[in-house]
Amino acid sequence: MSDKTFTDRLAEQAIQMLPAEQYTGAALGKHTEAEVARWRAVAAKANIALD
Amino acid sequence: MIDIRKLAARALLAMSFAAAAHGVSAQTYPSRPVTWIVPFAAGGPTDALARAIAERVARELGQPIVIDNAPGAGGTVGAAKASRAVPDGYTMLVGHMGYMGAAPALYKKLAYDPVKDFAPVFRFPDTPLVLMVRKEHPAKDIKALVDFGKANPDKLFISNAGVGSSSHLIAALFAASAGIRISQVPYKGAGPALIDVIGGQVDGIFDQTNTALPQIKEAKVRALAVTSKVRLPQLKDVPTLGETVLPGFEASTWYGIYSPKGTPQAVLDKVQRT
Repeated sequence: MSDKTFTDRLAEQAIQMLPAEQYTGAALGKHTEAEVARWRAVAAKANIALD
Repeated sequence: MIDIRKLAARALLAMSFAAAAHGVSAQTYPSRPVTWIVPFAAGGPTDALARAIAERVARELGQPIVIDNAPGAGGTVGAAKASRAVPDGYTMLVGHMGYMGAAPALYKKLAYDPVKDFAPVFRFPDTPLVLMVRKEHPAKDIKALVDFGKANPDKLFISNAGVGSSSHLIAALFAASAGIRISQVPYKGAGPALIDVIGGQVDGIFDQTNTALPQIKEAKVRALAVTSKVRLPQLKDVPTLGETVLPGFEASTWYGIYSPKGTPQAVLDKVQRT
């Protein structure tokens, strides 16, 4: 994500760039754990289930 | 009678081969094309973004990246397939908020664990969504749409790209947050879901910006709100949900590349460096 031509092309589509440290594998791992927890709460509140 | 010594010797030999194979792949990786599994149909926003990033990463790796579209069950079919792949770095998953974030909460039986069965490699930029309605819909702004939803339970028909897609999940989140009941209409992909909004068969859709912007610019649909924290430069006149009807609301589709657990760290490091 350090190629400005490439990221500019994504930004033209309103795709939102992140701070550099958030692209790493470690950051993705933490984000995944946080999202799994977040959606558990959302699904319980909204009573969503798919099977 | 089972010969324990022979069994132990065979197991040791198999482990040696596996370790050697990983060792070689870590040093020479990649020596052949890499496959990225995209668990949605070709042509949708996930596929489009994955292909754009794959092209860039392939250039750095010096090997092609083949996109394997494996749709089904909200992306969980493709994710399960990726979790069972040999952890050698030659098969990776384009992960998505649905099947890597929400799925454990939505499915009682899931054939994989997003955290335990995968090694996270790197994250993509986020893609916000735009809530759009058909041009003839009576709601001219987001407040009017929420009022319409409150006055007409289950009569607001919102299409989505399929069960478990971000358009499905964020519509559910929106409805729950706004205190309205909507009717979700699943399609096989974002393309046909959007076409039926344009055609007036359904009322609206939450679509990702990379596929929604061209339709908005051509005035084929009416954009009422975006799901990002702040307004988008491309849609300056379209408010955020957070600044209008749902203070604090923020949601975007997030993606990342994941490899099956057990992939050699040197391989992960090499892909991360791209």
